Amino acid sequence: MAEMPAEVVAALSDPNALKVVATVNSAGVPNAAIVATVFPLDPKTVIFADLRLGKTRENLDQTRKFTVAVLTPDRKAYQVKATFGHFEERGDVTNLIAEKVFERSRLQPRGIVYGVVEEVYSASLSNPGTRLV
Amino acid sequence: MAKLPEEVVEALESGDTKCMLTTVNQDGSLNLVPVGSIKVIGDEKLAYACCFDGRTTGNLKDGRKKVAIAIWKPRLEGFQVKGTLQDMQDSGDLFDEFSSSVNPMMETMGIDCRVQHVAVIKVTEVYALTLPIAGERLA
Repeated sequence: MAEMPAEVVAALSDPNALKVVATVNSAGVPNAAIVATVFPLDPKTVIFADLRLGKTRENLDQTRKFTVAVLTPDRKAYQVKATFGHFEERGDVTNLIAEKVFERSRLQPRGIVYGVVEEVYSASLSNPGTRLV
Repeated sequence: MAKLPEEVVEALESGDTKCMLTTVNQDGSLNLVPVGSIKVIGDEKLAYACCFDGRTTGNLKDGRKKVAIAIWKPRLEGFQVKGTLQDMQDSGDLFDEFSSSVNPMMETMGIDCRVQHVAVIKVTEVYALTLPIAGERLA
């Protein structure tokens, strides 16, 4: 388990940042999906809503690994490697997130994916690949 | 091999997209990074400049050749292209073409790096990433 630096938490909290979630199946085939609902619940936990996750959910069940990359409007980029913790269909946090997601998208999430942060890297052009945590 | 749909070609050629490319590390985790130089090469291939000999290039050179690329065109268009590395070029016309466009751009941004290789990706599958049709296969 690792803690995301404040700059990474800020980037993941930015609603205007591009956020992509990558997963891999048991055969080693990667998948990359744009997931606007990625959010840092706290510095050790990253969450995102299951709005229409197909392969991403399947892959999480198979290999439990995922990576989130975020690119902010001012070109700061980070890569957060995480382990799939659990999936929650109902709960205080899930209900709150579901309300916010519904307000923005008119779509009802099936639940929330919780991930435990393991490693954090810069992916900015000035220092790509530098491990931050 | 799959043919890139017209809307994906148009998005990539608009110059307005942001792309992230993922490869698989030796330990099975994912490496996922922004890639700013993706170009359409014919109907069935993409190419991009590898400016840093980092983990993405390492994974491809080590034989883990499968990639997935998320393409976002603001504000509401998104695609995923899956593919396999076909070739890593260190010279030739394509390499020169990328070098002449990417190297000056890096210099302008004050980034101390140059094109090291050009990766050519053979497209195998294409999906929509835009709600409400996210996950629908396009090719």
